[in-house]
Amino acid sequence: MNMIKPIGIAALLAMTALGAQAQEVGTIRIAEADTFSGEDLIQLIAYERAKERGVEIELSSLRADDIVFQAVLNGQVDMGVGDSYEPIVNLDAPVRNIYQIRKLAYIPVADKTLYPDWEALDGEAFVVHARGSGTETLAEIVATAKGIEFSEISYVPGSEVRVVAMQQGNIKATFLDMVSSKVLIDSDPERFGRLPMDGVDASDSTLYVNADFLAENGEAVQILLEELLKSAKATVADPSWPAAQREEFGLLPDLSDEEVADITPYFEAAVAAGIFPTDGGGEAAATSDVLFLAQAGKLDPAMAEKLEKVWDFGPLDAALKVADGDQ
Amino acid sequence: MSAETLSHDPSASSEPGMGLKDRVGDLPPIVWKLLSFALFFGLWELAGRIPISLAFPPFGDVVVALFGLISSGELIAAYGRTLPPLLIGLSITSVFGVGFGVAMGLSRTSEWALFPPMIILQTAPMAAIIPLITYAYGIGLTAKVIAVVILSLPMVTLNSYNGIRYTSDSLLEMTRSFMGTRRQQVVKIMLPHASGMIFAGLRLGISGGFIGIVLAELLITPTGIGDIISYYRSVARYAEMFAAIFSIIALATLVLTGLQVVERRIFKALGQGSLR
Amino acid sequence: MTSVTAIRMAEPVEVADIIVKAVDISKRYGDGTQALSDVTIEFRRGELTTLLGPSGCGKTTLLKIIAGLLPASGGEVRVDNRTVYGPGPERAFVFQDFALMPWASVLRNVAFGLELRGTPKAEREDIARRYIKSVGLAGAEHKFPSELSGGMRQRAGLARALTVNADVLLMDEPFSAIDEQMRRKLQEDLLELLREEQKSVIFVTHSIEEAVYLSDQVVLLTRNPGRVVKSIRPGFDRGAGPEAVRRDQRYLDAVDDIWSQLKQYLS
Repeated sequence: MNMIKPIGIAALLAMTALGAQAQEVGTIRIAEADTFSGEDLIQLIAYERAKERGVEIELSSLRADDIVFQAVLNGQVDMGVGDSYEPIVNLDAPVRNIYQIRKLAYIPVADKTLYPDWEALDGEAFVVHARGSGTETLAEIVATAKGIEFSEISYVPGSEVRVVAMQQGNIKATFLDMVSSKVLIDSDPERFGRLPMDGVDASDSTLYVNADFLAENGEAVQILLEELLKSAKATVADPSWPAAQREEFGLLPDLSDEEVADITPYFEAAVAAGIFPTDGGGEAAATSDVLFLAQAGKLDPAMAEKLEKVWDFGPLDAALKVADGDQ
Repeated sequence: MSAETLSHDPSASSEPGMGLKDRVGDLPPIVWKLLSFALFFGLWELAGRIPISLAFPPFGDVVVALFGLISSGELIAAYGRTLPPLLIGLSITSVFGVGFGVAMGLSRTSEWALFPPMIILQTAPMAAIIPLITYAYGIGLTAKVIAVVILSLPMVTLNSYNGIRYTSDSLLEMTRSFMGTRRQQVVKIMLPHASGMIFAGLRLGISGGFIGIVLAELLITPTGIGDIISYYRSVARYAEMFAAIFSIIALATLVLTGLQVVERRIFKALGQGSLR
Repeated sequence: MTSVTAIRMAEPVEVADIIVKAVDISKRYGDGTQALSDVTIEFRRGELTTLLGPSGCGKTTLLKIIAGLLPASGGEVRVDNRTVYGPGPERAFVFQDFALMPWASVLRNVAFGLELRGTPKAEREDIARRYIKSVGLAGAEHKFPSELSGGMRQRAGLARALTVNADVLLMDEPFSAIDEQMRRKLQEDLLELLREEQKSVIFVTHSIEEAVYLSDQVVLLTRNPGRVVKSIRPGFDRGAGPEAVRRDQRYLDAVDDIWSQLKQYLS
C-alpha cells in the first residue's frame, strides 16, 4: 500500500554515471510521491541524459504529494513532481510550476450490473484515489455536469488496488488509469464497463521548483527541461523508445519480466491518448489547469489572469528554443 | 471554581506591600494553568510571525480558522463522524480493560492468558498495524472502533492489573488476621487500593483512544477530523489543519479534566478522600 | 466471647492459666530453610510474653503461625487448650508496618476488624471511638493515616486490635518503626492500657531493653534453626514507675543476663 511507505525514506535510484565525466553544472534534488515504475521512464531517461550533461540528479520518493510540496517549500529538495496549484495559491508560496509531465487520463468505470450510467450513481458512493487528488476533482466536476450528487466520496489509493477492490465487489464505481481500466474491463466485460465522460484537459503531474533554487541554478534547470522535452518527443515519435532506453541505461533493474513487457504497450496507449505533451505544457496547460480546478471550486477562476503566480514560463521557453533549434 | 478565581485574583494583586513571589504563590492553580497556556500560545504566535516556515501559521490565524471551521458547520459534522467510533471504542475499553485487568490481578489463569497479548498490543507499532486492520475489518466503523480499542485497552488493562497485583501484602494479611473473606479482601482492599491506578489507566486509555481514532482516520480512510486534517494539509491551508488538530487536543484535554472531576467526586462520595 | 468464656469454665483448673501453647512447632520453607525447629512455649493468661532474638531467629514467623497467618510444617498451636488452624476471634494482630488503609480515615481503620465481621456501622463506630480515645488518639478520628506520625499510626493499629475484643494480642515488633522517644512513651502507654484491659500479649521484639521493660516473661530464641534457648521472668516491681524501673537492679541484671546469653549465638 502506498500509504504506509515510511515518510521521508528516500528510495534512491541507483543511477550509475556511465557517461563520460561532463563538466559539473549543478545538482538538482527531485522528489516524487510515488515509487517509480515503467510509466515514469520518460522522466528517468531525461534525468540520465541530464546527468551526462553535468547535472547531478538526486531522486527521492516521499509518502504523499503534500509532503513533496513541503520538502520543496522548505528547501529540503529543489523540485517536486505532482500537484501543487492549491498549495502555491493558498500559501502564496515561492514555488512555481515549470513543466507539465503528463496529462490527466482517468477513466470512470463502474459495475454495470448496478450502475449502468451516471444517473444511477446519484445518491451512491464513489471512490477516488486520495483526498484532494485529481480524481477527486474529476468526480466533483462530473457530478456537477451530470446534475447528480454522491452520497459519499471515499478514498482508496492506487489504481491497481482499486481494480482488485472492484473485482471483489468492495467498491462499485471509481476512476482508473488507462491500463488498469483495460485490465478491469477485460477481466469481466459483462460486469464492468466505462461510464461516458467528456475529455478533460488538465495536468496529472507537473514539475515544480523552489523559486530561490531556480534563480540560482537556471542553467541546470534548463538542461533538465531540454532533456525532458527530448524524451517526450522521442517517445511520441516512437513509443518503443523508452523501453529501449531503459535497456541502454540499465534503469529500473528490479522490474519483473511481466512489467517490462507492459512498458511499450503502455506508451503506445498513452501516446495515442495524447497524455505526453511535447511542448512542456506551458501557458496552455497552466490555463486549462486553473480552469479545471476552478470548475471544481478549488481555485478562483481569476487566477487564469495571473498565471505568473503559479507558473514560471521562462525556463520552458528557453529550453524550447534550444530543443527546436536542434531539429 | 471560576467564581473563586475571579474574586481571589484582584484581591491578591491589590494587596499593598506584598512581594511578587507571595502574590504569585497565592494564585489558584487554574491561573497557573492559564498562564502556562498563555506562554505556550504566545511562543507559538511569535514563531508563526517570524515565520519559521510558510507552513507554520501563527496561533492567531489558527484561532480564526477554528472559528471558521466551527461556524461553517464543517467541524461539527466532522466530529459527528469521529466521535461514534471513539465513544464505542472507549466504552468497550472501560468495561473490558478494567474487567480484564482485575481478572488478571485475581486469577493466575487470566494472567497467563491475557498478559502476553496485552504486552504485544502495548508495544506494537500502531501506525504499521492499523492498515492491517483493514484487511480483516474493511474500512468502516468496525475498523475504527478496533483501532481505538487497540490503542486504549492495554493501558487500562495493565494499569488495573498492576493496581490489583501489587496490593500491599500487609493489608491483605491484616484482612485475613481479622478473618475477612476473599470477597472482602477484593472489595474492601484490592479494588480501593487499585482504584487510583485504574483511573490513571483510564486517563491513559482515553489519550490512547484519541490517538487511535485520529490515526485510523488518517490511515484507514479519511473521515471526520482526520479528513479535515488531511484535506487542508493537501491544499496547504495549514491554519485550518492546525485548527483541526488543536480542536482534537482541546477535546481530549476537556475529557481528561472531566474524568478527573468524576474521579474526585467518586472518592468523595465513597467517603474515602484522597488516595495518597 | 461468650463461647470462649464457656470453654474456659469447662477446662481443668491446672491448665487454666495457660492461654496459648505452641507445641513442637517447626517451620521449613519451600527452599529448605529451617526457620523453626521444635519450639514449645507456654503463654500465661493475663501476662505479656516477649519473643526476643536476633533477626533470622524466626520470632515473627512463630508469631504469624500462632496468629494462623502462616501454616506450621509441624506441631500445633493451642488456644485455651483447643488446637487452632487459622485466624480466630480470640486473637488480634498488631502489625510492624501498621497495615492501615491509606484511603480510609482513622475511624474506619480502627473499626475495620468489626466491619469485616459485619457489625452494624453505628455500633462499630461507637466501639472504635471508645478505643481511639483510650489509645490517646481522640480528635484524630477523621484524619487519614498519611496525616499521622508513626507513633499515632501504631496507636490506631493497636486500637483496631482492641476493638474486636480478643483475649490475645499478637504484636509484631510494633514499635520498631518508631523513633526512640516516642517508643518509650508508647511502651509506657501500652503497659498502662494493659492494666485496664486484661489482655494476654505475645510481643515480638529484637530490643533487649524493650523486652525486659515490658515483659512478665521473656523467651529467648536463636537462629539456624530458630529454637528456644531460655525463658526468663524478670520479676521486678513496675509499680515504682518507669524511671525507677529502668534503674532497678533486677531490670539491669535481667538485661545483662539476656545479653550474655544471646552474645554467644551471635558469632
